Amino acid sequence: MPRITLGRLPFENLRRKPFRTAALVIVVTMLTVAFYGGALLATNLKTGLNSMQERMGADLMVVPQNTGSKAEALLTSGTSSTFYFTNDIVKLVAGADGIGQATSQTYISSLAAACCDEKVQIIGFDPATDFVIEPWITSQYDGTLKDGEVVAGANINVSENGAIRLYNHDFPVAAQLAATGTSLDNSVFVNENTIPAVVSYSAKVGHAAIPQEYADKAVSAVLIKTADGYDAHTVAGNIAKASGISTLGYVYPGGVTASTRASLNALVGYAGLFLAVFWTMGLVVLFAVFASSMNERKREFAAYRIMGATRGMLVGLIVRESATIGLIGGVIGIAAASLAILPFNTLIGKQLQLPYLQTGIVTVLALVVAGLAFAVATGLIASIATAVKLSAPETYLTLREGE
Amino acid sequence: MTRKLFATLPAIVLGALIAIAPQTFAYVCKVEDGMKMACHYTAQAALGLGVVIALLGILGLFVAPQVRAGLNIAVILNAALVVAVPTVLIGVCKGAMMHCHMVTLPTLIVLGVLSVVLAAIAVWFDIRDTKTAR
Amino acid sequence: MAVLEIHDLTREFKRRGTPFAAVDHVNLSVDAGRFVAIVGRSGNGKSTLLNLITGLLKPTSGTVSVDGQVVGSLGDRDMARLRNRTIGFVTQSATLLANLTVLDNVILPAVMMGEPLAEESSDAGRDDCHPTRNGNESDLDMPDVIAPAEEEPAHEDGLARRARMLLESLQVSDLADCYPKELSGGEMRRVSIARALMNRPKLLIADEPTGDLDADSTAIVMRLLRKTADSGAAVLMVTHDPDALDYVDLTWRMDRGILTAV
Repeated sequence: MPRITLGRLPFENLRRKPFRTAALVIVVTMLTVAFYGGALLATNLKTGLNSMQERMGADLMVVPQNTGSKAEALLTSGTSSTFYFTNDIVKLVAGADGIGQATSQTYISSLAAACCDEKVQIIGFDPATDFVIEPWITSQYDGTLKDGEVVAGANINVSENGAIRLYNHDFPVAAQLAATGTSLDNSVFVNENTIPAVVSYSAKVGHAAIPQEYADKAVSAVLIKTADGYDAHTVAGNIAKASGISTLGYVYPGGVTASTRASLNALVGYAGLFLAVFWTMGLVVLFAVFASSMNERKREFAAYRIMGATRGMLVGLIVRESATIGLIGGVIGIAAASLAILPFNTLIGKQLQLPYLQTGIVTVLALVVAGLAFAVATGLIASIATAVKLSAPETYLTLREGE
Repeated sequence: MTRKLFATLPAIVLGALIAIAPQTFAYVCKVEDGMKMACHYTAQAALGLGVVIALLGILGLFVAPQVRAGLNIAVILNAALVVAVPTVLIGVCKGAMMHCHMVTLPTLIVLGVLSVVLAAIAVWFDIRDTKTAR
Repeated sequence: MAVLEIHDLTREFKRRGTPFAAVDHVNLSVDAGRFVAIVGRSGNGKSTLLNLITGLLKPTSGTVSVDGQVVGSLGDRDMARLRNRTIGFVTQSATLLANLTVLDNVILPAVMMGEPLAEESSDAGRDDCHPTRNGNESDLDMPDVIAPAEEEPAHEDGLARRARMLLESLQVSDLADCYPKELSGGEMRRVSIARALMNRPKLLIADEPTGDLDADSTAIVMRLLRKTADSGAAVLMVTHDPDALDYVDLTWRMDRGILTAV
């Protein structure tokens, strides 16, 4: 064993008081898990929300009666579904006042045939009028999507030979998109002309997605960008008048984003408040332990003084002990939270039913550094009172008669 | 006594979890029409590895610290395999939303990493104590 | 030359609002090579006097100088240095550090000031303990310290060697790797003497050094203190123990803060 040095003294003190040290480390670990884990989750939710906002090109979605909530879920949480109009909705809508751009989309929920029971959302879009999907698809795939081909979302299982098997038919995959943290990751995009083929394949395997009679003209939603100066709600009213149908469903993607953001902010706010309370409580515990150990260690500090320690050395000793506790607790806390969160990001995203996108490595590293700094700072703050006492000029660390 | 439990209990518990998880809560894709996916074999391998790790832990209850250190080194190597099996050696289904990819894979990684770390700490303590005792 | 020079030293405390002098106009001078004892009942200000000498308490009036330096006038750093390098203090209570082994406890004062004391050491160190090879040389209670030092493993540095040698001379070297809580009161006392001697103090202060010791141990400790004085250090001891007084040059009595020659 190497001989003692002043630098090793704090570690010996921690090592020889394993229960006290472990208790302090556990408190710091819990605080760090809460801080770092909470920050990581909040960052991922924000990233997901921003990503979702970028993908929402439309101001208004016209959907069939009673399918509004399905359509919203499809946008936010990745619950796939099939719904469609049975009339020529595009023409009916087109006559309304205040429409800047309009395009139709078709949503079909399918079973992926190859393995397991994960559903895939098939989204048919009309390349001629589309203004929603193509802008961001082309940011990763430039080229026109041919009939019969698909573009796959990030979570889609593409086979070795570059195809995806749906309804017992291999669709060639033209490109696979980067993760967005939204339902679009579980979607495949096809040209609207491909939809009838999809429907016929589904009929062949006995799971007709849409009755054959509607296959050619099935439209699930009309996405509308309002003309300048028109409010989405006004346009919705105009559409109801123009089409003569009062039971249409309307979804306002901007509103969806805004309400998701609002509930997310509320969530983050509560979590932050909880964290602050939790941290204060933890700090009080650490504070109490340090203060009581200070009394317990009076004689020890007196011994250092007698041996010729300056007040600075005593303060340094306490500071290094508490910083070490903070660092150990921080490392354990960050490792534990990372292990619990990072590998499970897909599952967390699915369970939260909120847009959730794992943030990049740089942000994670920044959070790790912040978490460590937080842990060490917590340790240091807890020992401030003790350190101040020790640095007081009138030393009270004397050995009294009989002590 | 505390030391002995600290050096063996993690291997027993985590080994059992590694064996059980893919068969229960972290289930893998069902075998359909005799078509066996990669995750099926990953689950089989994890079952074997988990049982071995748990047995090494149980053996550790009855031996001297030096031997226990050796057993824990074996736990480390086996646990490294637990991580390697679903990632590089066998793998899981590719679809990110598939249960085996979303749950089984990270579960095995986490259990494997925890086993490696805890066994490494146990080895360190056991070897250090053996040295000091000499 | 006087290593310790106390001039008209007074320290007052307040008890129930009334001031009283725990140390009352004390004058004392201890020369190098002298072994001085102070006797007196508990509560008569002996420990207060020692705390004043080491600068842990500030005097109400009067001065203490150690090795030519006025204790009250030094800053924290210089005072710490004086305590570390010039003064050795054997405390009455158990002040060994519970978290360090006996050996590390003894070494710690030597590494306290950052740079360890130079290794000039080993040889000079032996001389410190057996400087004159006078009457006690043949005493079997006091084994030759050179032999164990040479038996130490090669990797141990001069400080560890010196610490082991000191422990050896107090017959507690077999406890070097133990922790203080495993020691008896007498063993702890001897270890803290070894610690006080580690930096070769010019002034050794011992507060009841034989308090918990049996007759044999008392003899070992007192001979070591005697030798420390003979080697040129000033030794000031506070004691109750009449056996201990056989070894000293001069005895003072402390009564209600007032120091008088016996």
